This record gives sequence, structure tokens and C-alpha cells, in this order.
Amino acid sequence: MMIEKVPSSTFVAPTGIEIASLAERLGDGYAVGELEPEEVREEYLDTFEWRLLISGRALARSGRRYRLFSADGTLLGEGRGPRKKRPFWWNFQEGPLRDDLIEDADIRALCPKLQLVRHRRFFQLLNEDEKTVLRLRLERTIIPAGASGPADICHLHLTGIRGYDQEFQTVLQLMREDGLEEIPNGTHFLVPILARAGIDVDSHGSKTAILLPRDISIRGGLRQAGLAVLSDIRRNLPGTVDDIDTEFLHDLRISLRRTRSLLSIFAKKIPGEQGRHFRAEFRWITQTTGNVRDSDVYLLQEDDYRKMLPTVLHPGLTGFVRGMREYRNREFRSMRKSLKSQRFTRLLGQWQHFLENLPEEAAEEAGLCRVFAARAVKKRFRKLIARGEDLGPDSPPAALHALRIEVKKLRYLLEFFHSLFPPEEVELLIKHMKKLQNNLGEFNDLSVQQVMLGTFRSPGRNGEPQQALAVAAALGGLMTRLFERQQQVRGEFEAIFADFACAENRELVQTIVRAGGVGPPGEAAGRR
Amino acid sequence: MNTLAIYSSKGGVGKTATAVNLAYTAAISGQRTLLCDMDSQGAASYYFRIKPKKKFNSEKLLEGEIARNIRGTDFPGLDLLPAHFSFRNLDLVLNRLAEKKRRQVLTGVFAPLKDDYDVLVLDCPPNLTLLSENIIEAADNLVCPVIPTTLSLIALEQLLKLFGKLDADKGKILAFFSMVERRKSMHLAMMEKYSKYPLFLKTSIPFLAEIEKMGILRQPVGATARLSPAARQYDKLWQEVWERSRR
Repeated sequence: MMIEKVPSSTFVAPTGIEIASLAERLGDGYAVGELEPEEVREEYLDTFEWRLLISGRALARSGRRYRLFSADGTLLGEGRGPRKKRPFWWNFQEGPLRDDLIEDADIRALCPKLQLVRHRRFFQLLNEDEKTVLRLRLERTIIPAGASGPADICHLHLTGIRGYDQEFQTVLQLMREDGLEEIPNGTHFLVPILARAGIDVDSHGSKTAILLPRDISIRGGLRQAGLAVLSDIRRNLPGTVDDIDTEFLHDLRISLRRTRSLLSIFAKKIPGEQGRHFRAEFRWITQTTGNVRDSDVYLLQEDDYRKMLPTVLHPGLTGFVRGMREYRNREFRSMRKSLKSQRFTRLLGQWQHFLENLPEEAAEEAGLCRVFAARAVKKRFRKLIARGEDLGPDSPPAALHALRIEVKKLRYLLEFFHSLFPPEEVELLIKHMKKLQNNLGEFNDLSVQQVMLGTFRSPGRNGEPQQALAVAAALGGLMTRLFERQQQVRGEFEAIFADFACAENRELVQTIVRAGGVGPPGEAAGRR
Repeated sequence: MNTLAIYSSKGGVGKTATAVNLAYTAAISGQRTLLCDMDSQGAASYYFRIKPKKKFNSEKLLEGEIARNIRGTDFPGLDLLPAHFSFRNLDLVLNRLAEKKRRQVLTGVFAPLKDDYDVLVLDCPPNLTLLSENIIEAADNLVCPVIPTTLSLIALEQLLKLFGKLDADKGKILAFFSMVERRKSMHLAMMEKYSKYPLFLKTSIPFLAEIEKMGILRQPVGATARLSPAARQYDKLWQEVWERSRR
């Protein structure tokens, strides 16, 4: 790019600020013109974890009119959109607005986040030729009392015109002299509004980062990690129960598995009966969510499945999808019952109580969490490499599944305790692990899918043999394609595993383990 | 970046009105547009109320020092490189350059802007000189206003002759009838005779008072009245030019 970006700046302004007087203060034949004002009631939508905001966008709607803005408030696109309370990108008609939403929203629903009324006044600073040399926008935002607010905020935006930098700088200086608070450049226009409305964007991520002090005790580590993961469970629970989008359940299941992983890592720190109770109960609730997640995966893959099949088999696939939806609905009702049950509420309460009231160990018996974690990483890595090296081209799928679980356990370990280890090494090891996880994950998914498709019965279609035949033909076609893909994935495993088991990764683990304080130096992690 | 030169060797055919209104229409249809006022009279700059910076001149232009001299118009998405009085000497400066280079100077000047703009509109001065050869080289298309009169058509023939001499692609030329007065039988006869040639666009621009008034209001016709007959006609012309230029 050769052309510089036009300068702009935003100030917090008093609601009664006088813009017309700027002309007198500038002298030299300047004048201020005002254009048609605008008043809009808008509802801002974003995904649960604010993906649009994070990528510098904002989606507003008034009725069915949707407008997409960039972080500095520039209108990027507009058009009519769905009536649905929480639409997905695929509910929008094909066009630029929909195209813009695909990447950021992905499979997440766009949820109403904030309602406000914006009064906007537009001014132009004109020079002696009546040429616009600076644009000013006075924007008063009123957030009605409700889930957020009430708040009343006024911002003055200055936008320069290319080639008229002097006027921009002069007015900028005047505003600074007037003592107006300047909002740092590059701040998303919604950020100050959200702050005033009392909405904390940072607390909406799908996974809480666990930051442990270096010399935290083992029980302290369990408490902090456990409570962080518990907050992830609680945060994703309402969206799962309300069935807003499939990612809530996906993230809920991850936090349930992470909790179970903690229960296993810290098994010795959780007394017998209590430990058994938590392990059994978290296993129970994780299992009750399995079928819904599996059917979500099939339904999300509908388009991919369609592409795998010749057109003649498409009606059969449609029948399968219909049957799968019915199955999912049934399973969902049963899962919701469990998630809303007293048993589960009690479990979360007990778990929280347990974590919050973990007694501190006496100084002499209190081990350091980093030493404990480093030992665990060393053990897991060793086990993982051993399992992987035992595998040959004829090993059964169950053996690959077992390896997948080992990799997952190590991944969770590194995520729980990453703050106790050197960050670059942990990040690099996780990056290398992802390749292996993807390979094993896809292999496992393909196995599960083939078993499921092979045993799927279209519910309530017994009276329609033609339909049942069409579904069976489509599923047969799919299974063939999935089997071919699985063979390919399996063929790639050896090389991917060899890459992971390389000397570089063994060194990485050694560095991580050593940083945790586990000696003796030079002992090779992963050596059998 | 699509470079469109609004060109005719004859004066008074509506080049500047075309350049200003097409650039405006391009910008409001969402194209990042730069209008370059190559005519030392600076009429396009005048319409947008833009004066050049004091240190700008023809030599700076040919040296490629244009980024810092571009100014924003009153309309988002539309910038203008204003003309300078010294542009009347552009041919003299070009003539001083080595023969091999001097036909490609403008191409080199505008090339670095390709990531900043989608459309570049050149408002060209009326002549048939070395500068014209530069414009033919630099432009993807020459949009040529032709009044349906003999002299105006002779100017078009001369342009075709120059294309022949330079061995340039005549398909680049997009001519259209400009300042058409339907009450004049000669205009109608000329249009009847020539509009069958594929280099002529289907859209024509009538002679309208509101286009003349641009000199008083100093803004594109669409900015004064978005749905006026003139504005709608320029919209149509833009759509046809855009479509033809992308073939």
C-alpha cells in the first residue's frame, strides 16, 4: 500500500458539547456544516465468546435490517437478515454480509449481547472553498436498564480527509486542550460501551486460562485448576441446556473430560470414598452427553457426506439426516433432564465445596505442584512413546484408540500446568502433539462413524421399504468412502508418530521436566 | 486496479463531466476510486473544490511522487489527484526523456497504486501528443465521449489512426455519444449511422442543464440529486463501462 490510512481519533465528550463553535476557534474562513442526524435502536449480536468483537467487527440489527461494522465503526455491509432470535450465518441469504460472517461465526450462533439507542449527529468542517476537510461524528449511546446498563455515553469521533492533515491535527489539539479524554487508537468502538454497560468480555472464553504461581503446593494447584475448569462447566451449561449451538455441548464435554483428567492426575490427593464418588459421577454425566454429541457430529457433516455421494444417493442421505435429527431430539431431551437434575447440580456443588475446602498440607508434607506436574509429564510422555512404539501396521483400532487417550492425557496435563513450565517449549510440544492428535482423532472418528452408520436404523420408517432401501444404499456408499479415508489416515500414522517421537520432542520434554525441578540432569525423558 | 482514461483529442465534448460523474458512481458502488486530473485547466479539481499542494508539479508527477499529493473528496471512497498549472508542460517534460522510456512513464507512475484503488479514472487533456501515447499505454480502456457531429467523429478517427500507428489494441476504445440533443436531426442521423459499430456503447448522455450546472454547484450530478435523469444516465454508463472493461 502506498497510500497512508486516513487519521481518526475518538474522545469521550460531554453530552452538551458545542461543535459549531469550532469554526470560530479555527478562523480563516472555516465553517461547520451539519448533515441529517440519525437515531437507531440496535441490538448487537456476537458469538458466545465474542468472536466478531475479537476479530474487529460488530454486527447490529434493527428489526430485520443487519449492519456489519469494522472496529472503528465503518459500515462494512448491510442487508435484510433472519428473524430468528439467535441466527447462524447460514440463516442469512447468500451475499456479501453472509460471506463476511462465515469465517468469524463459523458454527456458533449469533446471540443478542447488548441493546442500545444511538443518536448520531454528523458534522463537516468546511474550508473557504466549502470543501469538507474534516468529518466529526457526535454519538450518544443510551443503554436502557436491563441485563446490562443503564448507561449514557457520548463520544466524539474525528475522521480526517486525505491531504488535509493540518485541519485534523489542529482540531485534535483543540480537543486535547479542552481536556477531553482520548480513547486509545485502535480500540474497538464497542469496547468502551461494553465497559460502561458492565459487560466483561474476557469472562466469556470457552476455556479459562489456568495461571498458577510457581511455588504453589500440589493441593493449591488442584484447587485452582479444578475451580477454573468448573467455571468452564458452569459457563457452558446454560447454552447446552437451551441448545443454542453445538459448541456449548462440545466445550462442556471438554471441561467434563478435563475434570475427570484432574481426578485421575490427583487421585492420591483425593481420599478413597470421595474420589470414587467424584470419578463415578463425572463419568456418568460425561456418558449422558455422548450420544447427542455424536449425532451433532453427523449432522454437522451433512454437506461433506453429500459431497462424498453420487446424486442418486442424495435422497437416501436426506432420509438418514431426518432420522438422525429425530434420534438427536430424543437423546437431547434425555441429556437435558440429566443436566438439569438435582444429581448433577449436587455433584457440581460438592465438587466446588471439596475444592474450596481442600486443607492445606503441613509444611513438611506439602510437595510443590511443579515437581508433581513435571513427574506426571515425564511419566505420561514415556508411556505414550512406549505405547506408540509397540504399534505395528497390523495393530487393531483399539490400540490406536488407547494411544489417543494417552496423548489427550498429556495434552491436558500440559494445559493445566503450562504456567509452571517454560512457555515456548510447552507451546512447541503442544503444536507438535496436535498433528498426532489430529491423525488419531480422525482415525477414531472414522471408526465410530462406520460402526454407527452400519447399525443405524431409520426410526419409524418400517412401513416404507423403498425409503429404508434408499437410506441403506446411501449409508453403504458413505461407509465405503469413510473406510477408504480411514485407510489413508492409518497409512499416515507411522510417519506422524515417528515425527512426534523424534529427539527434538524428547529434548523438549526434558527441558520442561527439568524446569519443574525434576532431576537428575541429562536423564532422557521417554527412554524406556 | 482498472485504469479508465476519459479521452478525446477534441475539447468541449464532456470529458470532465464524464470523468467526475463516472468516478463518483464507481465510488458509491463500492469501488475504491482515484480520479487523476491530468488537464492543466484543473476543471475536475475545481468541481471537487480541491486545490493542489504548493510543491506539486508536472515533474513531481512524472517522478511518481503522487501518494502525498492525493486528496480526499467529500465522498467516501473517492480520492483525487489534483491538476497543477504546470501540467500544460507535461509533453515538454516527456519529450526530454529517453525515447525508449517516454511512452511508458505514466504506466510506471500509476502501477504502485494497484493495491490502494480498484478503479483509476484519468481525466485527460484534449490533444494527440506523447502524453496521449502514454495514456493509451497506461489505460486498460479509453472511454471516449463523442458528440454526434462531424468534428467529434473526426477526432475519434484520428484516435483510431494513432492506435494503428502504435499497434495498440483498438478493443480498448469504448466510445459513447455525449451531449446528445434529440431535437437535432443531425445528432439522430449520426447516431443512427455509427451506433452499429461495436466500439460504441449503448448508453448515451443527453445534453442536460443539470450537467451544465455542475460548474455552479461544484459536485457530481449524483451528489446533488441521486435520482435525477443525468445521475441515472451516468449510473447506466458506468455499469456498461464496468461490464465491458471486465470482459
